[in-house]
Amino acid sequence: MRKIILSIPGALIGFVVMMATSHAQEQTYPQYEKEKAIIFCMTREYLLQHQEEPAEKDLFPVCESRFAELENSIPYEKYKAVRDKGYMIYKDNQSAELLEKYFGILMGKP
Amino acid sequence: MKLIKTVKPFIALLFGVVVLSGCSPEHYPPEVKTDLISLCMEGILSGQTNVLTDGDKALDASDSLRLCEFRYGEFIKKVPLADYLAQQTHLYESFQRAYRQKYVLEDVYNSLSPKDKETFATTSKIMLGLDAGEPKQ
Repeated sequence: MRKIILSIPGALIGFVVMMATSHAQEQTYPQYEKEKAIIFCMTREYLLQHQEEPAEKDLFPVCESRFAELENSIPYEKYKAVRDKGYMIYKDNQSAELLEKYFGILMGKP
Repeated sequence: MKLIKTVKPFIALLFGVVVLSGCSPEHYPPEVKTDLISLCMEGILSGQTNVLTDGDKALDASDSLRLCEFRYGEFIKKVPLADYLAQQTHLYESFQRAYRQKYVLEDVYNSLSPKDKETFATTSKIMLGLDAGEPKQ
């Protein structure tokens, strides 16, 4: 019995650590979102400029820096809240503004 | 000694979570569902993918969404989540080496593995209704 009681704080600490870790992960864009955003950026650049000729400068770091700007301008939690609404035929103003900003940054719009 | 007593349950808890996650059936997370349905909807609404209907009647947005949800239901039966995610990661990596390898857009896709190309072709076929034929090996 004593053993079980002694184990409870350990399990609780474990649970809190896990929750804190998963919460910390939620603060930043996960790898899936990073890949998706950079693929969008690169595909657009290559569609517009490099269907025939290879790039003369490396655009990958350009898209990485746009993604870094995205992380700073739109916190993941805010993006996630809109994304989790699912596909919206009629977007509310707040969601439409956020998505416009999201794609604008990835397209390199000032 | 006290530390061991504290750590042990934590390890047991972690093990339990890993075992449980291993047992649960693979399912597509909501964000991937939204992305696939958005892809389908943008294809239809932008007019880049044609949908044949009876009597040339155009699909409205609600009909299109129902069609995209149906396509999504078919897609997840055919493509395991792991294959879909692996194809995305490999496409990301292909773009990463695009400049070094002097790729044009087509090369970025052509450098994917046959399995990734198949996933890509299935995505286009089911979610966009585009039939590009057999993927090039």
